[in-house]
Amino acid sequence: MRTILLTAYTFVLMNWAAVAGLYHFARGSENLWIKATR
Amino acid sequence: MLGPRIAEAIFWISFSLVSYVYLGYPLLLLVWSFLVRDAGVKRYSEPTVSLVIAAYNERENIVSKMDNCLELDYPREKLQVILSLDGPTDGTDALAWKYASCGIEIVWSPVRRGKAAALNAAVAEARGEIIVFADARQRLDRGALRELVANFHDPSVGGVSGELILCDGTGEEAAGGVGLYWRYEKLIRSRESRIHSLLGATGALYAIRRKLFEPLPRDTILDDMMIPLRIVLGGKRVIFDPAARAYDKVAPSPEVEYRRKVRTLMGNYQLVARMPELLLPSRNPVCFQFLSHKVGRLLVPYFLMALFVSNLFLLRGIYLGSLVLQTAWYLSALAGYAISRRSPEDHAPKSQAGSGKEAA
Repeated sequence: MRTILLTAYTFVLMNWAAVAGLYHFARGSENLWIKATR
Repeated sequence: MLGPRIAEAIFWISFSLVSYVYLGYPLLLLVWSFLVRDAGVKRYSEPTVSLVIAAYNERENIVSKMDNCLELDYPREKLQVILSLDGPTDGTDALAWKYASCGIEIVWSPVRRGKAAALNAAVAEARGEIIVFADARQRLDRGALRELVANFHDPSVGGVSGELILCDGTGEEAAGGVGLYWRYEKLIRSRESRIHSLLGATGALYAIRRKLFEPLPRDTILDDMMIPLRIVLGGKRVIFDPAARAYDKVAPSPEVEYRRKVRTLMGNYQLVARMPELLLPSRNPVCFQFLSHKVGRLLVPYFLMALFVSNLFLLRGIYLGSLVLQTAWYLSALAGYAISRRSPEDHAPKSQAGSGKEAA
């Protein structure tokens, strides 16, 4: 049950990241030394 | 207020897009990958290799990383290791200079210019036929370089991405939450590789032919996507080799992964803005995959919102069932948030090795 709940949370969070990503990109707020991709 | 017909149209369009991105596209890849290409042929050889690591403040990782580089299974006379230090302020440079006597070449900038500039400076010093890029934090498998370069036997291959394995506190590959999400991603990447090319490499470990490198704009966010995609646009393939492995700890909480993801997706927006030809099938041989995977992921959140909102205006038959399922899903996410807040240490790795037992 715990895995399902955390998976649902991760899914929602990762999707929200796309909205936040657009917001930060539009604002030009980027730190060039934060690790991004895997 | 939405009329039922408009709400229905929005519901089904949103449902179709979300389903396609998360289920339809991976299934399509699965079938497609069995039909079009084989996995390619590797031939083990020993071309000259330049291993490039760009680092900023990596005091915690730099010693283990340098030791790891010196332990790699590759002829020392054919391996150039370049550490590009981008104005570190935490003493990383003092630790790194000790390795200069071991043959590690250090490119040092007194001021911070960004990762892309650090990579450009390092590649300018590279002499190897093949450039391998790695990050400072992850530990490389001893045979990772051999596995990567064996793929360049195929002249159509311009780049190769290794596999990043995320380990949990026990040293096993992480299976839940972020680990599960990452496994799903890797499945898609491996299928895309079989069909033609990846849409980006694993920043922890990837290799390209040196002659294909073009200097990066200084404010590049995703060097490990821009470099491979330039190669693909130039007519070569970029493939995935799961035999070349790097190990990292799984993010200690979904929130840490979230911050990384925000930046990745910011980088995707930057890529589309900088390289609009990625959206043109006439220019980009993996345009369909790029639209389905990368652009689709950028659009999904808005369609998820539209799906839920339109469902609120459709409270009958299957729509009611859909609303119950969606509500249950978001309540589960809320409960997951509460669990994550209450016990972050439960999914935090307990060891400091950062490498998993396979690498150790």
